[in-house]
Amino acid sequence: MLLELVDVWKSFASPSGKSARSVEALRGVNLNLAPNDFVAVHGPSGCGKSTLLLTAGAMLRPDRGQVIIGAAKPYELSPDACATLRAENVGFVFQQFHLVPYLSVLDNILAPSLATKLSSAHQRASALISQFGLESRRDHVPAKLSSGERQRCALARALLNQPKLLMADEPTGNLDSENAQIVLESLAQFASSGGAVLLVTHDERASRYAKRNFTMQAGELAEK
Amino acid sequence: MNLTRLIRREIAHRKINFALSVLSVAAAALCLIGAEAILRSDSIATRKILAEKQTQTNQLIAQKQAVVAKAGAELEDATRKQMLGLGFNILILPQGQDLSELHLNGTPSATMPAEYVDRLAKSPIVSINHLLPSVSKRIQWSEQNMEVVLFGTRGEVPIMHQDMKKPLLDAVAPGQMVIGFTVHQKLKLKVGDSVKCLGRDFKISKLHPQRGSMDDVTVWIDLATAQEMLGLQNLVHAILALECECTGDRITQIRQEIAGILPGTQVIERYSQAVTRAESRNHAKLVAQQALAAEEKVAADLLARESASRESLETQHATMATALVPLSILAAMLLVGLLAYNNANHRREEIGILRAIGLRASQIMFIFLGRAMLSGVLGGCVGLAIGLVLACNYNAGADVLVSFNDILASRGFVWLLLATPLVTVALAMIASWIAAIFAVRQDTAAVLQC
Ligand SMILES: Nc1ncnc2c1ncn2[C@@H]1O[C@H](COP(=O)(O)OP(=O)(O)OP(=O)(O)O)[C@@H](O)[C@H]1O
Ligand SMILES: [Mg+2]
Repeated sequence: MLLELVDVWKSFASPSGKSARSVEALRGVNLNLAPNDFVAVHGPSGCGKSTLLLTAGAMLRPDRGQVIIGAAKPYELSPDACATLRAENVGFVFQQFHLVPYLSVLDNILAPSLATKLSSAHQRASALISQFGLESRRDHVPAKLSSGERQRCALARALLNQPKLLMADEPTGNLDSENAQIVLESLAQFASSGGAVLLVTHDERASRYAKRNFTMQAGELAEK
Repeated sequence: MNLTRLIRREIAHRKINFALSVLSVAAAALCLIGAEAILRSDSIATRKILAEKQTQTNQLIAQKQAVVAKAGAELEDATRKQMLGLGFNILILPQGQDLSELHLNGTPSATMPAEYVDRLAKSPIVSINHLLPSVSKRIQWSEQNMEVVLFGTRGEVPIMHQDMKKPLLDAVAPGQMVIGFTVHQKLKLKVGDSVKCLGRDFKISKLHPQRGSMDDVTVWIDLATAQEMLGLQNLVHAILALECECTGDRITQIRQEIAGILPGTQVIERYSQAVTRAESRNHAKLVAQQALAAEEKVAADLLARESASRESLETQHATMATALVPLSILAAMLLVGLLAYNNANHRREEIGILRAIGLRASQIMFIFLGRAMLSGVLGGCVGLAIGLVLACNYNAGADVLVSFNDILASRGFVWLLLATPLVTVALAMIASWIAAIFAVRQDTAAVLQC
């Protein structure tokens, strides 16, 4: 298994104060991802999709339950070891792209090499730039890019360290259908080449690319 | 791609924030260097002003001292000349000498042993000097058919325990004769003439000018010859001496001293108005010395006052600096801290994604502290540069008292200059520490939740 979630619970304290009830974002979630898996999680806004992704991606400690990436339990590691685990195993793509605003496309794609000692980072970055059709954009900063180019850049960045897991949070939310298709195809390609994809989205088109589709409702996950 | 490149890119992207940080740091560095330069300039100026005043004073005092010394030397010389003119003013005579005879005839007749003078010379006497043993007698110079005073004297007998003094009188060599004014005028004698006196031959070695005293009718020959001629071997009539220029009742003191050494003698003092004049001159010398001392004191007081006023100026500046420098450093740190916090706050999303892709906390710290370090180095250098330019021009002008080189040469200033960027780096890093911690500690997940 590349990723295992076993009875994962996560709740947030209500922002309005102690008296109000806390929000249960994840309620006993179980999920396994093997190589070549492409899981899409659908659900309404606020149902806990992003929480699921961050918890699975070793970014957000659950209240209960186990998260296992490869053989490692990220939340039992030291913060630095957890960061290294993330750097080596997980790539992230977000709806808001989260590119570093002052770095060029090339530098943004190279950013993950800051966390690992990847010797061929430059070659890989160039290859990814070609793969995502960003050759003419390699020295531009994100502000000069279209949404589609930004998301392709974010995808390239997520793939630089050759992760085993790709976590995508609404990656097509800000894209036109043409770019959305490119992104979804890329995710499918990543899965078919041996990785595992966990995609959370409203986008119904995703279900066509995913091998397994789940729905999430008030923190509970169920396979369609 | 590395973290320094990331820092450089970020700085280029947020120039204003970074420039403000640099300026804050530069202001602090400027205050530090400026204050130090002013304090050093003060102390160098003080040193120079005081040294100059001291030199002026020294010159003035030296001039006055020279005047007093010259006056003193002139006085001594005048006294000496006067004493010389008036002759010896202490006359030591045998006890038995009838003073009325002396005053009536001008010459004594009682004698005492010639070795008395040696006894006196070997004694520890202090109240007199210039001992001159003599015999003298009014004689009929039969060869010239003239009545004269024959005065036999040898050179002055040095008093052993006293320093050698310039003799008042030159000794008359055996076979030579010194002749008083009236005698040589009347007999038409010149230096070099040979004369006979009571059957003995003499060569005239010196003619005295008119003195208006008994000296004008005196002829001087050497003591031994005179003793022989007068049948007074190993005897003398008188010992002439010059009293020291001491204060108090001198003659009593002299009498006591001589009575202790040469019992059976009497002492009389002659020409006391000369002594009075010497006394008044001595008094004048004393007054001049006191005036000099007063002048020296005034100069010293002036110098002390100048020194005190410089000191108070320096204290004022130092007080100002001790208040201003920490305050400016504190203000700069506050500003740098706020700017760093603002920067970190702007970069929450960026930090979130960097954490997500696996950067460690220490790397995030490095990004922020590296930036702070750069602002510290740059700010330090800018502050240093502006500080140096200002310090160079601060004292520029025609009447420049302290040049920039003086300040630069003052102890430790170069080290201060070299240390300034280090200080500002520390300052900027400490000020940015909280912001860096904030950046590391922030909730990454919350930022990344879409
Ligand atoms: N840090 C937080 N503090 C408090 N509540 C939170 C926090 N993060 C998420 N929540 C709450 O948890 C619930 C799940 O949030 P989550 O972001 O996972 O929803 P989502 O399914 O991703 O929604 P959307 O589709 O709009 O992105 C929401 O009710 C949200 O308000
Ligand atoms: Mg979400």
